[in-house]
Amino acid sequence: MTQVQFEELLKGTLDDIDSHMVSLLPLCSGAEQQTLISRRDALRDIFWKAKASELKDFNATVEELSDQLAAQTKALKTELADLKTAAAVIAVLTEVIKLAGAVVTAAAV
Amino acid sequence: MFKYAIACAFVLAGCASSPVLDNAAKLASAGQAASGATVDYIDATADGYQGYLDGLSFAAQYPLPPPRDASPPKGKARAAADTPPPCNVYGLTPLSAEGRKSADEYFQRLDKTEAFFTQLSSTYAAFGALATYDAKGAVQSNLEGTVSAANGLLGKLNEPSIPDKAGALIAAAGGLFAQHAQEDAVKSASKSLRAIVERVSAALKAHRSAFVDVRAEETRVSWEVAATMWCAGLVDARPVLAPLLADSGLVVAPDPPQDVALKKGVETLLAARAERAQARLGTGFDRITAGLDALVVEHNKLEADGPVDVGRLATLAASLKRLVTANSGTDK
Repeated sequence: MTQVQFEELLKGTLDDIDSHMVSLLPLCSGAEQQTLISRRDALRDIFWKAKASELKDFNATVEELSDQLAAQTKALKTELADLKTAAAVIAVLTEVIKLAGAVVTAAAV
Repeated sequence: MFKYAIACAFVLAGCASSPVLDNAAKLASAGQAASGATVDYIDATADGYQGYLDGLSFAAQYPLPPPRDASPPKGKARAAADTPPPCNVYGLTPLSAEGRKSADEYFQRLDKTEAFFTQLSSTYAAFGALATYDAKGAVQSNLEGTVSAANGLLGKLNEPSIPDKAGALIAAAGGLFAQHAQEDAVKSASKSLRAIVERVSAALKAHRSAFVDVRAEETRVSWEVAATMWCAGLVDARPVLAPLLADSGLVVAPDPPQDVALKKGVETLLAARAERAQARLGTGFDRITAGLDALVVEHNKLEADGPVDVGRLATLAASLKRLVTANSGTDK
């Protein structure tokens, strides 16, 4: 995955989760609403971190993390399309954040 | 004889005219207009950042929609007048300190981009003066300033810098006539300017996604804030409805009934406009780099004694200006 592909994936995921907030928030319990918003905010922080950094060091480890991230974002898309429970969305989103954060940290030069 | 003497006096005084100098003047004027339009466009993006921060903070003042486990309201008690409606439907929150730090860093890069184009505009003005009279001193200092501004930007992009000597105006050896010396100076300045423009264009293209993504983020949030404000009843929807009556000669009623159909209809219009705004995002950036590339092409023609064609540059500059107007909300 190139830097541009990673940035597209990150922005696409942020847009995806954000555009579903209207439908997701009423599905959440009070506690889930707070968790969902804090996860979305964490993803937004990673987005800005990626914009402020130069992500050039796409070595083998970063490639592996990026591949895992791509798989998780696909799973998130499925959860958002189904919208069965907010808990399921939050669980996948949490994994997405861990991986995206790890990619940005590892790839920044 | 008298006319010849006057002409010679002008030539010797440096007020020469020739196809090369005329073309340089045209190119200078187009370069200045293109750089100026780019500055305005970048300015709009920087202004958008403040609007982004303010919009997030504003929307966050509204409560979230009720969660699924919310207890139903008891009795017929109406909500207190000071309780805002649950209109934060996107769950917007202000940027965290960490997010703000990163975003500020990104916008410092944008400041450097704007500084480069501001300097470039000034350098094209000096380049135009050089085509009219002996303005080598002004061109030299502006070229040095342009190299410095370009290096400020390239540094922020982690790109190698341009050597300082790239801004040196090679002293025109000068021909037998002042006109030849002036043409040599113009071509020398053109080469320096072209090299700088070429480097910056390549560097900006490599960072296209950052620029476009940030514009997209600003735009998305601005529409979400608009949806929040519409939900809270803070917005007069008539300007959005007016274009629907464009050919009918009718106008929107001063106080349209605030029913469910209007609510849904305006939400649909907002969503459609948000989509159109997103579609325009890459356009502005692409016109900036296309403008730089067009400048390089015309500089090459000038240096080869060919005629320059500034039509494309004028079109790109006009198009950027239209985008600034569209994004400022007057033509959505």
